[in-house]
Amino acid sequence: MSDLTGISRDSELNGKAHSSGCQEQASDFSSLSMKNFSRYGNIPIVETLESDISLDAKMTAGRWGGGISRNDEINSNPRRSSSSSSSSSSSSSTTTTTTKRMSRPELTGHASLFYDAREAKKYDSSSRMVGIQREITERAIELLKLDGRGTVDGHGRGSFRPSLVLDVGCGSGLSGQVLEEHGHVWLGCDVSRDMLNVANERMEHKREEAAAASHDNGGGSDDEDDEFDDDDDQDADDDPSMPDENNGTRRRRRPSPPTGDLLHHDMGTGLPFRPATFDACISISALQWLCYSNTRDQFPKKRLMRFFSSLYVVLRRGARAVLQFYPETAEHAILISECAARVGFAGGIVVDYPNSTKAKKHYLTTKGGVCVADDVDPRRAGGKSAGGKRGEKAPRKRKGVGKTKEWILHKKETQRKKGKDTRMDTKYTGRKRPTRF
Amino acid sequence: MRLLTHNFLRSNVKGTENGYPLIIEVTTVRCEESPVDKEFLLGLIPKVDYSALRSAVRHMGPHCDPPLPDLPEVLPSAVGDVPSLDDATISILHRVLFDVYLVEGYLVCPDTGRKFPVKDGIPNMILHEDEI
Ligand SMILES: C[S@@+](CC[C@H](N)C(=O)[O-])C[C@H]1O[C@@H](n2cnc3c(N)ncnc32)[C@H](O)[C@@H]1O
Repeated sequence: MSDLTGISRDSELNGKAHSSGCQEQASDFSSLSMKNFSRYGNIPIVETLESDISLDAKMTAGRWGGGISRNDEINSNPRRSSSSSSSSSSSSSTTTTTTKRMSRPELTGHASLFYDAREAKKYDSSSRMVGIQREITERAIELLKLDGRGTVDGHGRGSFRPSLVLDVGCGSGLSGQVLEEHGHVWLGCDVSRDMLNVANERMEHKREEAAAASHDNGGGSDDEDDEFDDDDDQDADDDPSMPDENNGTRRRRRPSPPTGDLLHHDMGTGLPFRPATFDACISISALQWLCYSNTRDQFPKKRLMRFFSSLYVVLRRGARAVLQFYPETAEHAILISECAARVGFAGGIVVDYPNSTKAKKHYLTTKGGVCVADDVDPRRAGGKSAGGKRGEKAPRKRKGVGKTKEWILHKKETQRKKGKDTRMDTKYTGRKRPTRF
Repeated sequence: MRLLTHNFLRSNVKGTENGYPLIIEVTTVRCEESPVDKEFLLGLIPKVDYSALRSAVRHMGPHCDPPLPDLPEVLPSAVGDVPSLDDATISILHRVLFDVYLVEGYLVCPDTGRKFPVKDGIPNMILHEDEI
């Protein structure tokens, strides 16, 4: 059962003169008996199998960046996920097979042109699509680990607390709806006005339903009301001292008005919010769009950097972002995760169903702002604090640890930006040279 | 667009310093009612820019039915870890943050004057590449 390829791959990497931080991580991971672990460049990847461990066990507290640490936890939890989608993981993995990965809408031009009114309607009313997006969103929320009890900042266990969640590329609001069901308040951004219109319609509909329900039941509280009041996440209304706006009657809890709000915006131009605004961010099936240039003045890397640096800023200290995307190639995955790492995000990529070409899902799971103030500059720090964080800016202090290929590429990129004459990147760049002694 | 969203929104068009708060030009607003989540609201208050909210309410207030009252100049004890607000204040804060929507109008960048149209409740914050 124990699969050692991950480890050997990893130690191989270390052999190629990686930072001590990575070594530390490797030893951390090698304590595992069952895992699939590898890297894109310096970015840790955790692959989950249907028979694999629960993520709670995998991403244990404090060990971000693919921090798998304790065996016992892992073995006690044979299934991928505890609550949500995976009760029939094997069957769902086969039904999830026909995602749009075979066709690449990203290649057809600008997202707002692809997701026009017709496509938006089609997208939103395809029950297959709805099912897939729902499953992915459930998983993303699980990875955010703020699901009410025990939020990021460790607020009281047992007491649900909604979070303010940014949904980037919210589309027709399928992902937002799931956030809503989890009780969160969300704000969705999308570049396609037609997708947003569909989302808007749904919210309008919910609003009307909620309004109608509150009218019908304006007469007084009855058994049903009590039933709703039993929900432990709705304390506010249980407070008898709360002023009632509805002529002295209790307001109905269900159906409730939507908790989302919408914004027409292109994430590639940087998120337009004040710093430290959101408790979390999700993005479902949208990020890969930034890897393509749809007009002559769009540069993928620039747009990704704008997106990530603004995301870093608008997230609260220690808040997480889980961004599910469909990389066309490994290069895209590397590009995305390196941009995330460069602006300071710690984290890695979680891959579900790694062995299925079609059901495979990549989740960039990152945590921002953790140690902005008190962190040591990872470029200067030796060892621990740099491990698994900003790996690509790994320290090169120790003897025998050379300049990594990533480091060289980055340096060359910087030089180029400064307008300096820099040699082309080739397959020889940063290649291992024979040692001199 | 809710005033909660407005409170977090800022313009990042080229040439802005703060781009905050966006000036609201109202054409139509909508008011509705949603359940108050006291805990959530209390958690939110420290993040809300109160003076921006207050001026937003002043812009939107007259268009609402019934008109929104002005918010108190300062919140009783919004500073500190646990803001202790009385229920009346909580309910008015909830109302202005969650239940009042700008449906049609403009958001104007205070630094550059760039106008962002709001249609059908959705602000258009799209920037052209040469505006960044
Ligand atoms: C496959 S849909 C996913 C929608 C939604 N998250 C869901 O789960 O149903 C991808 C969405 O990403 C949006 N998108 C693509 N590029 C974008 C960009 N640069 N900024 C914002 N949204 C973008 C598209 O308009 C589209 O609505």
